[in-house]
Amino acid sequence: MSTRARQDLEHELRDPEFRRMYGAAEAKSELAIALADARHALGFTQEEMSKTVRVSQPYVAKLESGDANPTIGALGSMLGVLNLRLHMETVPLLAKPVSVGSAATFFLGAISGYEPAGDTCEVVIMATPTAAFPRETRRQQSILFQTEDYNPFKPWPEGNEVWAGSAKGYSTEEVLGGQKV
Amino acid sequence: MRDWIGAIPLRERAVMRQKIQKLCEKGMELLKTNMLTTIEGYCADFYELIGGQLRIGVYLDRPKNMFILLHGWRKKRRRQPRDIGIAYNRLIDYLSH
Repeated sequence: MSTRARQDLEHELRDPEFRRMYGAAEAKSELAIALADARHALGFTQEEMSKTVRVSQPYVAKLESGDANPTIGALGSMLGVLNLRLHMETVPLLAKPVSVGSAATFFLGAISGYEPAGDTCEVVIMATPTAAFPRETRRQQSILFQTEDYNPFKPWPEGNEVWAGSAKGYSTEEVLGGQKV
Repeated sequence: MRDWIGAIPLRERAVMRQKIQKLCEKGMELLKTNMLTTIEGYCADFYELIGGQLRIGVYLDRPKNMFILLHGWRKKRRRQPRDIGIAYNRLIDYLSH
């Protein structure tokens, strides 16, 4: 995560009310990832999973989007049907930032002089190595070839030049889709 | 993006900040879940990060090992071509530099 985004998050986490809501979202996301992992390990589609654990497919989708809020018992029942059990541990709410010396640290240094003006893109630096990324699907590859000017391996210019095109100055209304939140 | 996230209500802001943090921690693993989905019909590595009714258009810059958060919006209909278009235009800007 960029230093700016990380700072914003750390600042907001000082508010106990924000922490409470963040903690709820964190638990739901971890559950979503655990369930998706279990489903993939079993080779199930969401439809097959829903039939096996006797819930609707949209509910499985909701669970895997981190929006559902099942009871612990309901969760245990679903996992039990899959011959799995819940394993829990508590860790600090916010994971440590990208470690010093990793490849990502270089990029933190590369953008340290950047001060965005107005509403611009935000950069997130990943802890996961690029090598772990899945290959493009056939559909993605076909889209890649259909898009004439697309070149994901185009070199990134030095310094802040890269941000010039991003700071295009979209209005708040445009960003919010013409609606006030 | 930063202004947009700062302006949304507290509960949704907590959810979106958590999703962004999770994207940072887990990367493309999130594609297995419904929290991150491919936006089809545009280009490779163009994704949608989902948090309740809110969406963020995201691009994965593989060589730089970074996700670029392009544009955030609130989902109102089944699809939002206009918002995806804004995100895609920003992506074009990004790739052209």
